[in-house]
Amino acid sequence: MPAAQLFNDCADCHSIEASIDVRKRWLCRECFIKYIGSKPVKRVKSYRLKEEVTEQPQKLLLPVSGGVSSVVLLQILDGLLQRQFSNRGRKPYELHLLMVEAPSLVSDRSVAATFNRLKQKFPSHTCSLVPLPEVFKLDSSICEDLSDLGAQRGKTPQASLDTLLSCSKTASSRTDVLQLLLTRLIVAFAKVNACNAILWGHSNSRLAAKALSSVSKGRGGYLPFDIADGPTPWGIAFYYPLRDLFKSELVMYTNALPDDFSGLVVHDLASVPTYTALRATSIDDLLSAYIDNQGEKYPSLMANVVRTAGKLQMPVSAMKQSASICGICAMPIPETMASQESDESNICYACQRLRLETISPRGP
Amino acid sequence: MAPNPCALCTDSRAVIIRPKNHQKLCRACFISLFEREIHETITASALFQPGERIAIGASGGKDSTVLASVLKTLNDRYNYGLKLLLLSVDEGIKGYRDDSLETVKRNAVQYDMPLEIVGYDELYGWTMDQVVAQVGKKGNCTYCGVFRRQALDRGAAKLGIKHVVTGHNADDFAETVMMNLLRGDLPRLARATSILTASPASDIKRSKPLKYAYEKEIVLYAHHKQLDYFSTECIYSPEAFRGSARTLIKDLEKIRPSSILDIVRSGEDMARLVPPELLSSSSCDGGIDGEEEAKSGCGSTKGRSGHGEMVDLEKRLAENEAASAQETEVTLSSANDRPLDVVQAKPKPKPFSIHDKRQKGRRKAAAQQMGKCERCGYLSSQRICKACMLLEGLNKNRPKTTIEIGVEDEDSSTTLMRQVASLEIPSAGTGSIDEQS
Repeated sequence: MPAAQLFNDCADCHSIEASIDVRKRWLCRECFIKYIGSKPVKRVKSYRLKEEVTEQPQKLLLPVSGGVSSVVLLQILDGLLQRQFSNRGRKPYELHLLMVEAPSLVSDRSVAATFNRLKQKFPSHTCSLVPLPEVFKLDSSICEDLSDLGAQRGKTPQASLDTLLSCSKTASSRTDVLQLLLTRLIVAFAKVNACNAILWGHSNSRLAAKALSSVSKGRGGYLPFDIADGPTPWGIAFYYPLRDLFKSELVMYTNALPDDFSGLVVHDLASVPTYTALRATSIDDLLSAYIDNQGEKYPSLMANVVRTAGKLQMPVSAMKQSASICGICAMPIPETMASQESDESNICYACQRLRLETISPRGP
Repeated sequence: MAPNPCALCTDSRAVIIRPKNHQKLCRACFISLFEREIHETITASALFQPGERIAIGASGGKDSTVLASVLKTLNDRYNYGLKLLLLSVDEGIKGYRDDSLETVKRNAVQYDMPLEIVGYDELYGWTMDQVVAQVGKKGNCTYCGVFRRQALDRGAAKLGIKHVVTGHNADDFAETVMMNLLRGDLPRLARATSILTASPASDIKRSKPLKYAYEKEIVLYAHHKQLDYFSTECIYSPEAFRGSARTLIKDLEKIRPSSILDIVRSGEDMARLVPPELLSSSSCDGGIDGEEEAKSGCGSTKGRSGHGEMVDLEKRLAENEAASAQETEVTLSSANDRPLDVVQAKPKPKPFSIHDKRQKGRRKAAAQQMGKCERCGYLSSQRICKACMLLEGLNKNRPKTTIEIGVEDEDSSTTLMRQVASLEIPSAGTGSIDEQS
């Protein structure tokens, strides 16, 4: 082993005693913060967002759940932008923060309170708080698109949401529908606000869970669109700057930062693995728990899942206008399938499965 | 009317809840539905040609027994015109294979099919008991898998048969998809998802008619048809990637019964997304003899190598990452503990494929050149086939055996090996297994 570890001084600066073990290297607090911060910054730079800058700086939408990952991403990008501004006098892009108010997505801490704290802490960015039912206003075609899942236009957006959610027969389908609505809301919001891309706060662990979850639901045929950086069939690019960092590292990072920061984070937002009632667990939760469990023992293995899935290549035809797109999830339908199951060719295999777990709306 | 009528015939009482979709069925409807679905799989994929001679890879376990029974039924019912026979591999595992082979022998009588048994000891000079005594519990399934693949092919070749069917079921396929995703092996993922594998260089086809059949339904079918099968799992199979994937899949099945088929579907679709250059520069030594099937004769679907496999890969990946971290981060003064920062353009010669011991020189390797193994003549993309490589390792360590280099004649060498085997390892039983775990 390196001599560094023997004396336990920081593997990077060699001057301070190391206190944090990150991927088999011992670092001091400062260097650890620097190390974690450097990863998403490298990613963001690799997106070459500024090269496309014309007169208007690019606008990037950053959806924030209030959980560890998204708040860390916000903190790091905010720092980057401030440095860039003080160096060059201008920002290569603007961040637009979006929080979605959806009672069922967040634990008991109120979203509004988190939103206000974030707004105070990061005043230089535009912030929006949007309730989930707004998706029925922002996304004009949503009721038609999701009619197979039971969507009907109600008197109010909230009524439409309640109707749709009441159609889900299982925890999995409910989670899937909620996730779908959330994605559609964020995409629609980004488009309405002329954002150039969406920056997601997914950690490596989250992406790995998402990849396995997609495969488990029959969505393997467009896995790259679920986890890769770049253009998507939604018509807007998705980027995942935290793709190199594990969830546990992000938690360590918040703990290493000054106290006022970790107070911002709503800890343990979603993952409450309940093994007691497996049937009532959703597929997403099961795979998050699996990644968390295995990730403790085999962190690099789980990271490799994302890397492996990232090697898959969507055929060029998938991004063409003519490609047949699933009406529900917007993903391209593999051509072989479109011909085989022609009667339902506007819904992909996985969404047909999802439909089986929802109660059809009343009437034919 | 029966109190709980069958969803199909509505006459009889439903006694089965179909694992696949929770449909309530009577015994007769379940059996005919199960058979019809296999028939549809066979016809949809055009697996068989009339008049074809088919060897059923038979282990005596539930899958291959059900496969034999269903194929016989369908062959008669739909006039496939197939000539079916049973082909068994004797790995030489006492307390497991010798008993299951008895089952296969009874099956041969019950189904009126000829039976051929090929043994590891005659083919390789090693029984699995002896291999385990030598290499330990960890990793021995690699040997078994590679040996079996060749053994089935050689058995088929001996009988002049060009098509071997095996009892891989939907659960196995789903496991394989997940497992290969977990260990980052896309080439194998792509290969392993197809129902029919035929290589232009090989004249023996492999197919898996039970690809879409659930393991639970296979058990139900065997139970309700009162088939005679052997249910003990291989005593050497430990948990590994497959074990991890297996647990996951069972949980998924509980949440959403269709998950297994959904994963199979994902695997098929993902196979089309694997970039061609990855496919040709195959990560394992030789696409053909690098088996894609851990299972067929294991009885258990649990694993091919010890759970050390996961630990090993984890370690290797972590090392890769530490190395690449050093390359980029160690730009200032720091004293390098390891001189790794030299390689910049192509960081570490170790790719993420775990089976690759050697360094691949070119990035885009040309498509595999299939040829014959120099030692045994078996089809191989390498100069020496994988089985012979493994054998060389085994024989090197076998006491009082001279290292055999350049042995050209397979027959004499295996005879030699066999003689030595019987001489040198008298009680090659379970001696070292406990130590290993």
